[in-house]
Amino acid sequence: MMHLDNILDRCVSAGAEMADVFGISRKTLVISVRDGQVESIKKAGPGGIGIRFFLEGKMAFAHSTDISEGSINSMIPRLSAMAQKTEKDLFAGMPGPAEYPKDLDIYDARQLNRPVEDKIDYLKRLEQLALKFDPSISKSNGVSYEEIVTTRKLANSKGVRFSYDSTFYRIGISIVASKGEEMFPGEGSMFATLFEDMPNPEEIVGYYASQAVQLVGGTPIEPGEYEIVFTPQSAGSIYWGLNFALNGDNAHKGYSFLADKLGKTVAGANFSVIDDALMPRGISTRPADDEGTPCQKTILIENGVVRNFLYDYKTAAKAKVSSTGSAYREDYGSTPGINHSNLYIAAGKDKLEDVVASLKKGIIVEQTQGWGLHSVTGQYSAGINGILVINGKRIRPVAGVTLAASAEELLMGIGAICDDIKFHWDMTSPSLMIKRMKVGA
Amino acid sequence: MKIKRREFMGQMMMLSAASFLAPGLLKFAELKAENVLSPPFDDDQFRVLLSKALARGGDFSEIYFESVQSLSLKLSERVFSEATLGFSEGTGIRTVDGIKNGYAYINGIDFAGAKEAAGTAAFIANSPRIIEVAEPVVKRAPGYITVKIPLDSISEARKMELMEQAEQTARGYSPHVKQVDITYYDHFKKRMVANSDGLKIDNELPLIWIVIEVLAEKDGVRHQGRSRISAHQGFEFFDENSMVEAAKEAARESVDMLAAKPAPGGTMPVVMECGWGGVLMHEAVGHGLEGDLIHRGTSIYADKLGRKVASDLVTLVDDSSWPNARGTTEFDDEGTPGQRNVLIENGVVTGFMHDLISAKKLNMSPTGNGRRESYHHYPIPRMTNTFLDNGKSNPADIIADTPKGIYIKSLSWGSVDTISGQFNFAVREAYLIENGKITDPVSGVTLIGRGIDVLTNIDAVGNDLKLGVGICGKDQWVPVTSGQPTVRVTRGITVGGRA
Repeated sequence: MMHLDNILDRCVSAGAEMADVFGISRKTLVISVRDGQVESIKKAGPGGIGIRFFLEGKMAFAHSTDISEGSINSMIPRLSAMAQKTEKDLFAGMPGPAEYPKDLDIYDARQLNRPVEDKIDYLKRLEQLALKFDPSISKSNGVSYEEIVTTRKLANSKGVRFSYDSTFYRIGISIVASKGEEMFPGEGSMFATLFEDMPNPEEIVGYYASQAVQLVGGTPIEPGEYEIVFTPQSAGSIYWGLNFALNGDNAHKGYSFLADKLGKTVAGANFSVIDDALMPRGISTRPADDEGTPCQKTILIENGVVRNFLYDYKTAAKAKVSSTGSAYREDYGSTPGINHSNLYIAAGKDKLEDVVASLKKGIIVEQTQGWGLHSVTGQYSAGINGILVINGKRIRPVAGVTLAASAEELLMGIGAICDDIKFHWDMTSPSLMIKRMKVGA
Repeated sequence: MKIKRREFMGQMMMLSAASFLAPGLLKFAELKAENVLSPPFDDDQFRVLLSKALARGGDFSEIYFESVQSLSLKLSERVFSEATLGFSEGTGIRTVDGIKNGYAYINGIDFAGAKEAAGTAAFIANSPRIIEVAEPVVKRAPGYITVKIPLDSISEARKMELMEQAEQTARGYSPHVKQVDITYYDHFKKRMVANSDGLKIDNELPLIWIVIEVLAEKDGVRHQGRSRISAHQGFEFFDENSMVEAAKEAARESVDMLAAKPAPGGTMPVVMECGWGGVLMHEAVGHGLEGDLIHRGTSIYADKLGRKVASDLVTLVDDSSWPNARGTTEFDDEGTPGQRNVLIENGVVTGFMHDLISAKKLNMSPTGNGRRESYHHYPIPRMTNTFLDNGKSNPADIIADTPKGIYIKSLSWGSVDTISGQFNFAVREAYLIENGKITDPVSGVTLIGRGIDVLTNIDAVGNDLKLGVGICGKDQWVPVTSGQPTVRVTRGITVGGRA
């Protein structure tokens, strides 16, 4: 196995005026339990490297799971030949050495070292709790545990060298509530970087099982305009679209409804969106991005005004701004693109129960399907499952209806923002109230 | 200059494999001449690994070996900004005990590492009965995928030339076209499956996958059009599939949709154009007929075998033997040959899609649907080429017979919750139908419904069956096609619009 530095040297010797070598290695364990039995155990240690090779401003990329000397030796001449075929990118570049934030607390060895049997027992207990949550819970569709230890390494020809380890834990749950012939799932996953930050099993079960219990047997309601409350989960249909729309590459190319909105008001004055890669113990917290730029906290929308987009080195150069440290590689085989870190809609001060009590004719939306907020057109369209609320009282579950609005109706129509944000996901939100949206049935 | 990618990757593989393949090298060369995968391990090594994986019992053990060489070329903002060469290779070892999977995998083909992985896989089982590993019998792939012009015999320059023509076509389509992004991807994948029942099979699959995205913009209104073409085929694919035509189609969509109005909301008749609209069947019905959901009882179709669930016009087929199609497998990732499976015939459920585990659990035959994304995964029941079969109606008549409704020309994606049966589709391009005529475009809508409601309310099926290409995700991603003729659903689909 070759060292990243040595591979980089070979690139430079082969004529690269700029190069970087990025490596990922992982150790993963996934366990799933259903009906009290271990249904699967999967264990592996995948990894590989990716090389960006620049010749006269032209780039070729190669990736491999094989980093033996022979493999690298045959790869480099091909990279050099391939780079001559691509075209000069005026904005190509790489960051130089920098000081990286330390002590981000993103590695939990203690949980890793626990025996597999303990992890299995945890899942069995979790499933038991879920099945006992309510008489209407009829079935388990499985619970799962995942742990990933990742080492990310980078060496570039400008002198950047880094290597850091991080851990990621996920608990997944899928249970079914029944009412007559009707079945409805309560399912999802919660994440943690340090396992001690994982909500306890009661909280996980409470979050997902209560959805199944409340939503089973939902039926359509009269079409028309309703007040809408998005929960932290269903608000995903908003922040997913915002994430793509706030991606600097999409904005630069025009694939975003926010493309020409920098400095303009697009949402209510209580609405802010933040990407914070330095949040202590955060799910996506990291010292450096995957090109070597130090990470940071970036305010994207502040009190309704678009303040920034997320950038990697190249897109920042095109837009004549600084990188926000948002370069991300999905794996060793991907070239850097732009991605969020810990992205969230800032919490407000309202209490969810007060907001629900204030609704005259509204829906608490628990789950959404479909586009949600479309990042290119800015229109909102989704199928929903939720609870009908009349004069502050929860009446019955709703299903088989759609929700639609323009970007303006949605974002300028934000009323209350609640205080119930939780950082168990890498994108998150508090509960949000929208004054008026159109329900179709 | 021509780059022989396969040779480049081949060298790498030889080097990494040399240490323990040395005795088999001659055989490697001979087999190579026949275009068959070199065995990563010799017969003794296979036996050792398969036995080790059964050390704590279990029904069978399996070794999956895979090697992929890929090329990707990206044309964005008028520049060929990226060329990527990829190589990945690995070995996965699985122990199956009832419905339980123990799985471990390693990069490359290292015998010591594979032995450790076999020990890890074995952990899942706990039964007193230890199975003997059967003598291997080598099987041949059926030959559903044929190659006339190997992808690696064509220079990158030629591939880039096709991309450039496509790009210029899209840019020249209209002054409103602002961006064109084209990705060319091809790969060459070698697979081998060997299991403790004595099965041993291998082959090579080429894949072409092209995605063209076009952004049109006018007075602050934006629409992103997309078209994709793909097949398991050699470069002769382009004799009958044109990148230029695909680019024109993406540009047309992006420009036509600039005039889109907000869609109406509510329940109305929906006519779906032939092709990728087949995602309707894929999501609304297909997933619910996958064997793992059936044996777990988490599909509404679990107790519907032999029962009528759809209108007489509905015959649904999953066919992994369709020549060269993107969902075709030759044999699935457990070694079961591909075949045509009729899932629903004239409205009656006639079969499910199985892997080895679900087939055995339900006492049915495997159907060749055990698929995996890569050696990083163990196989599960998945669709391949899934389509609603041809009916008798003329597509134009279906539209003319619809006084009022919505016409869905293309979908982006869809998903389904198999427990509640709720599905949804994100629509790319749709039009109103008024008095039997397609009129104004409407934008950005979501469609929702329940599979069973759609099936019973299909009242017209055209005779213009076409497959559309895509990717399907169920914990892991696999290439698929979904297809259908033009179809009308009278009730059961709600349109998420605000007009």
